[in-house]
Amino acid sequence: MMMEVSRYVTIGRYVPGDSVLHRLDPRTKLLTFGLLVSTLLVVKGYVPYLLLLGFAVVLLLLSRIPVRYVLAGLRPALWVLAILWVFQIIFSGSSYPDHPTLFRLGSWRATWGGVHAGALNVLRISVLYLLTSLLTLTAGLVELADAGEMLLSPLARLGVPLNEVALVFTIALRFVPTLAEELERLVKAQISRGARLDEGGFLGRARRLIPLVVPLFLSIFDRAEDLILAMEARCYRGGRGRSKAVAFAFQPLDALAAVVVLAVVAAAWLTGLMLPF
Amino acid sequence: MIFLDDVSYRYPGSDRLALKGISISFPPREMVGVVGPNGSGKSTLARLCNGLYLPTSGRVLVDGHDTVSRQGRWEARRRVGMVFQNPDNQMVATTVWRDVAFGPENLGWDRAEIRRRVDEALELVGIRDLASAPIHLLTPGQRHLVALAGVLAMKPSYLILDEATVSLDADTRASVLRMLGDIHQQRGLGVIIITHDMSELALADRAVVLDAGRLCFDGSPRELFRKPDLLRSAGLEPPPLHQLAAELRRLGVEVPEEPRTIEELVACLAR
Repeated sequence: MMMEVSRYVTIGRYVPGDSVLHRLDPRTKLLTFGLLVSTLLVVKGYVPYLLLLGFAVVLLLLSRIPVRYVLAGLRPALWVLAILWVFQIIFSGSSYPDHPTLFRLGSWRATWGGVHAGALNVLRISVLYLLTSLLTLTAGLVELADAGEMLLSPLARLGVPLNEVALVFTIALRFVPTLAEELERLVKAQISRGARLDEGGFLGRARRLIPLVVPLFLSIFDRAEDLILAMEARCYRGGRGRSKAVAFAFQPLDALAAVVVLAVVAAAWLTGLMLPF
Repeated sequence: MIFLDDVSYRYPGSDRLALKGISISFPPREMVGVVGPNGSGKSTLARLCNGLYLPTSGRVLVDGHDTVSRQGRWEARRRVGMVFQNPDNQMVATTVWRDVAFGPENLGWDRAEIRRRVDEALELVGIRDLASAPIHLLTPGQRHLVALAGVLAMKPSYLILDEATVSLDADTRASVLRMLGDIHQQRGLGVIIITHDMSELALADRAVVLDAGRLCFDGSPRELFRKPDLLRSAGLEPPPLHQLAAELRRLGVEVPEEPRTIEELVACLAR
């Protein structure tokens, strides 16, 4: 039941591979991702969105990650997207006072403007989903944390504890499977003693989670204390004086990727400005 | 040399001393077993040796560095590596290689040096092929080896195992202890094994017994096994092998007084 959820989420699941995308420097991935996403958020229009969608699909094919795997993650979101679209059609009438009315629902008015705005949003979110999936499927989260730390390293000189933040992020990731296992054990222990965790109304179910949540948190505190001792024993004393075991090096491939992405982004901007529909 | 000079320790908020006036030294390149029942203060003793705890009174010196100062603690921790009981709670990275590199990173070594030491440590404990494996897919035995490699990669002069092997199955534990014995022999690594299991003393040069925060024995394991009364009063049992040998002798079978391995005893009986 509850353990199964993670199986359907593809964001955040690194799939090791040797494709062009996998071989890019994680800093390149992070920067180009940021560029594409900010374009997606600023630019508006079918043509630029379809352009970006097309580009994302090309990247997906280049990554050699099974398309079905990525789309399976999108499936549960389809309902949300559909509802979002319907809402935007129904409730956005007042934004388009000069558009003809398609139909009325009480005091609300559906217009073609709403249909378009909704479609654009659905398209935008789908592209955003695809890009985010691609980033996290082709780069480990730890790798991305390292890349982020390196990209932001000028801030460290201003006293921002980047190294510490990156380590906290890594440790959090490191303990996700451990705590998931722990939770699973607790669930099984409760069920074997006759607990019915998936029955009853919302409140009843929430109340039945207490015997899971309390021991889980106690165990988290225990583990944290052990971890602090172990880290201190291994000479951890904050980010100061620490070195990095890994380094990234930009390759010609990264320059190529940067040029291609810049071209796509420029095309999206231009088409967004010149073809305003 | 790790040198404890009249050390007492009281846990914050407790009104009882966990360690009472302990003076003991651990010279380099020695394999020592520190045994005692639960609550005897043996883990406390271990944590004083690398400055995780600071003595309430007395001094702890590691190769001459007093753990009372920040710099002294740093020097002590560089020299005294420590492996704890639950390897799951000692790991900070998601993959084996990155986790083993954590200690070396803290020491500020350059990348080439880290690479060399980490690979060497993985080789030493025999998990080179697991370098890029995600931690959460390892077996408990493999996790112990990763924790061990993470400490060995820092090139300590002393290694303290704080009940690090208690949760392992008998076979894995025996092989881990054998491997430690080899590293101890080949590299001159000082090893301090904290345990309540007497059979882990088999490979030790020296045995130390703690009971209720006091030092009650310090000598060779052989000598210790000859004092079952001392062991029993400290709530410990001689290893099964020694109990068996003693029982056999009582029945009139001629066997050596302190067999080191089960094979030795079997060979004797077969003769």
